[in-house]
Amino acid sequence: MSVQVTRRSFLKASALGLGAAALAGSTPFVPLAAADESHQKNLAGKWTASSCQGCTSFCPVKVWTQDGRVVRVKGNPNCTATHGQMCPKTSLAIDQLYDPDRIKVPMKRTNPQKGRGIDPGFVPITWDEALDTIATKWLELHDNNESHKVVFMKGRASETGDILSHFLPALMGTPNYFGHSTICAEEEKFASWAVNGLFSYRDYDLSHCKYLLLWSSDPIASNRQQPNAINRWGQVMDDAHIVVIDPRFSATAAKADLWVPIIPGTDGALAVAIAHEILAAGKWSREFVGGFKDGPWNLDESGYYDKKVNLFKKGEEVDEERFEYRNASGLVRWWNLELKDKDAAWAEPICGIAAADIKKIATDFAKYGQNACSWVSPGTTNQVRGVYGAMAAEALNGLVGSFEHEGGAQHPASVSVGPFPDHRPYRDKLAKTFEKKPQCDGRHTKEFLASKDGGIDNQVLTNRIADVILSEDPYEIKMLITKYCNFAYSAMGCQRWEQAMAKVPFYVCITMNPSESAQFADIVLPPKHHMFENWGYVKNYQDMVTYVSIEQPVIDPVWPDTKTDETEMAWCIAEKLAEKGFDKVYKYFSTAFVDPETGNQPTDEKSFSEIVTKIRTAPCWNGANASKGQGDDLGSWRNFCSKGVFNSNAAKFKKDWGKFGTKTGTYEFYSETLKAVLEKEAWSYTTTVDDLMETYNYQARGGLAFVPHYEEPVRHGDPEEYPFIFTQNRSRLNREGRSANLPLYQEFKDVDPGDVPWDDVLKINPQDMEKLGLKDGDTIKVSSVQGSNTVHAKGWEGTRPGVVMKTYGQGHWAFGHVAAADYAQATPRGGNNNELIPADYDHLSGQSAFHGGLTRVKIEKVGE
Amino acid sequence: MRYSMIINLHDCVGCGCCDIACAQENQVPAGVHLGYHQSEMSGTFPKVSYTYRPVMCNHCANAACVKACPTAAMHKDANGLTVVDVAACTQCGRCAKACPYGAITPAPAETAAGQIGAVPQLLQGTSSGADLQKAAKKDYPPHDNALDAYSLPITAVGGPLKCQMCRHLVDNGDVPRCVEACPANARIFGDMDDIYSDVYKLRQEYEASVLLPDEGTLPGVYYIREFKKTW
Repeated sequence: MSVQVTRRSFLKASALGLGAAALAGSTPFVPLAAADESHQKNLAGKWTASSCQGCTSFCPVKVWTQDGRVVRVKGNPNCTATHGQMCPKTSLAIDQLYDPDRIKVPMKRTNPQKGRGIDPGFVPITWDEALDTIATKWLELHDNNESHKVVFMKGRASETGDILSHFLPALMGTPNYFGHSTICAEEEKFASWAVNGLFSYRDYDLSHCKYLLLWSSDPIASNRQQPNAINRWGQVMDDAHIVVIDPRFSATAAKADLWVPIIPGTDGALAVAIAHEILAAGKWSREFVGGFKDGPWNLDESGYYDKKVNLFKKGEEVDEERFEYRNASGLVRWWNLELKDKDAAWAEPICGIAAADIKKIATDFAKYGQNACSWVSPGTTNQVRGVYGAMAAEALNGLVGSFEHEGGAQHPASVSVGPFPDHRPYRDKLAKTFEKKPQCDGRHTKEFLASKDGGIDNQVLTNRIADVILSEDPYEIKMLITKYCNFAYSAMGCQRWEQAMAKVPFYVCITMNPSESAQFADIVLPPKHHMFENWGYVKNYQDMVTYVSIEQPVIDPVWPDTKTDETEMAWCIAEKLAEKGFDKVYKYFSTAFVDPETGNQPTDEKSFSEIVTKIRTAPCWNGANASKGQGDDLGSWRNFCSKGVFNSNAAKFKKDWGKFGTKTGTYEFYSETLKAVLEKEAWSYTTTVDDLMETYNYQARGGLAFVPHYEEPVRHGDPEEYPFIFTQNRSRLNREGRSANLPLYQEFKDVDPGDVPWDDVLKINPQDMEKLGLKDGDTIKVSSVQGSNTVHAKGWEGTRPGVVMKTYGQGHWAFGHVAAADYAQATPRGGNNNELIPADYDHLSGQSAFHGGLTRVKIEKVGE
Repeated sequence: MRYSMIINLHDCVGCGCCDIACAQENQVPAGVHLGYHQSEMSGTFPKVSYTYRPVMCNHCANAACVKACPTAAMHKDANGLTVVDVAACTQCGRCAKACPYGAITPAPAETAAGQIGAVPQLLQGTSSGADLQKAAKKDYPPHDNALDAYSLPITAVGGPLKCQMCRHLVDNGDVPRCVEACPANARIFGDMDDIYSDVYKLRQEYEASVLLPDEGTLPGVYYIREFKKTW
């Protein structure tokens, strides 16, 4: 007969220092709750609204709490965009909140030596000591006219993030405050901008889609808009033909009609061939694009151009004058410059896809025409020469006239938020001087166009900062602050970041866990968890609806010494700076920010945090957006907090037809928009666009630089030495590289098709496995020109021979006792893909490339 | 009354939300799954197919585990669920052996709760599992719902850990946690004896299958719209 105790008393025992193992060893039981406890009374709890920032989808959620503890999460049923749903990343946030390896107090380093595997000797310190140290160092540089030698970098942020990561450093006189965006997906935005004028992710109308062409998109598994995609997928499968172009047999490919296993980096060739076949078959949209003038306008019964007239014949140039445009421009030039010879047969050997399959895709895509959607994602775009191929894939939407049409890709609905109060009156002379100085990241060089939304040199070169620090070019960086980013793990060629972070004389790391980057920090500051413990808000769109979603303190912070990074920490640093004689930032925070409801000014970091959130979201709850016809009328701040979400009205179809954000206002198959920017840049360097293209490592010369086209992929590593092309994907459980320390992440890792729980496997085609003499589970060393991983081999039919792949997310050598195989010894669990992938860039957008088979690898069996 | 579940394999995208929600709700020990999945890759590149099937206790009408139990601890409730009365259980293990689906796991010596409590502190500035429980002002895991013996996964070592269909929720008129957590609405819960219920209607509308029908267990978990890519 077994002994029975309550679970509560069992845990009391273990909390007193009796380990579970010791207990279990002597008395064989697991706890059993007392029979007299009523299960009914235990059910009391409440749902509170918040938001998930596990990826950029930023979904509204509801959190169920019981006695001040978070127990359950679900999608916010008040959100129309997500249909009230979530994805598995959201669920994992609970375990993130209660991760014992979370940093609960500020810490300082006691070991001056820095390096991987060197114990930093962190010891807890008070906030006062941490703030004092930071303010002293910062003011020292400030007073010495070296404020620009401070670099501030942010990773994931809510829409209140600029308080900490823009206004604080700007008022402190550094131009060097940077986002993480070019290790994210700026190249995708760039390609979209170049053809349709939208420098952003597109929205998608899945409800009316009849043919969904997914370019490395995996929406039922990873960013973008998973809850919408997951919720609608059954219906999409019923109503639409789904084709997934991806080197990897992805989760979405598994639930599609056709998987097109393209050779990594050749997406542009496939897109170009599809465009050629659509035009050669005369199947483009006359309504959207226009048509050939057969003499004077020749209308058919549908009111548009005669569909029988088609001068797009393989190999033949077309006279531009013969074509009459409607909502688009440049089609004939695109044909003449790129498309005319590049049919399906041309693309077949490049992409590894049969010409017949390519033709079929083109035929079907055109058949569903305005209800066919080409959804372009980072796998296709984030390549060294990725812009033009992504433009081609994006341009298919224009070709069939589905852009902003029912069932197509969309410009999202717009929603206004409140502006931050003007910080400029609070600038001192130094701040005014340095805000005009060039940033240190290398954007102001001929090597990079670094263009964002039509600007030049206005895009951050995130991944170059490591090189700036190491080379001291243009100057030495003396202080680094990072917020919610972990570039020693998450940036391509991350070994450089380890060196850079070790070199910086003073490094402040704001992080929830003892991350790889934190190992190099002098001060570590612990933030609250965005979803459960702090004020903030996010904004995004899915399924035609744009939403603004609250983040609020659902519970009291688990650890009282944590602070909201974006607002509370900024306030406290400002307060400490003021205490030491520099009060500009504090004055800005304490006087410019006024509660839009009560008229009160903030008195401490907590009230500041809430007031910032109120100011920014005010139009969503004070009726301003409702009166503009943008969406919900929520009536009050209180009601916004209760509902948690502002829903816009659905975006209107064709709303930008004829007035796209391009230079010509049309959908540009020949990008006058991109041309204007490139010519301006060429002029400023007194050179030619051709010379710029060469500088940027693009192959295009002449007019090709302005049209979507195929560029050969860049691959690092000699094919003789490194015979395999390496490609990667995101885990559907990745909270952006921050969830690997959660046991449930490891336990359910196999929800990524082909992956193995608690493991990190390189997926290799079984033919290659045989050639290499490998069997499943063998330990292998995977090496590139950049570095190596030691992982396990797995035979997998979801990749072609010659191409190997690994999911990003494992390979932490720090972060916690689960993420790392051995935290104390800095032994990783598996390998980090970013130690294999070198730092290389798309020089137009500034994107750090990590797709398209950028690196080759060799595989060696270990232990023989 | 016959509580049942329909799982729509066409709508299911294999995301794991149900697995995770189940593990969180029931705080099962590591390696024990009350709700889990079977996945299979078949075919040869490039003509491959991947199937994913959520699995759980089938709450069989003719349950092998109930028949095997010598003390009637494992029993059928009036609502049709297969549940265990832990007080009557002798941890003989016969139910787990009898279940043809492997849906019952004898409780190991450590619970998830015990494991969390025993997590040692990683470095100064982080916490031990015990610290964390204390910080959450609870002597049980901070993110544990206040489950009790009625809701199970709490049993003596060797006793049966199995899906109780979240009866602590179902009794209150809520749906099981895996149903609420499913973003695809691929899990539908209800009374199969109620001709107005969604489960009844779906079973009529679609061809429904059960796992191992030849075992004669009459499962209460039905699969509709089987999905397999064919070439």
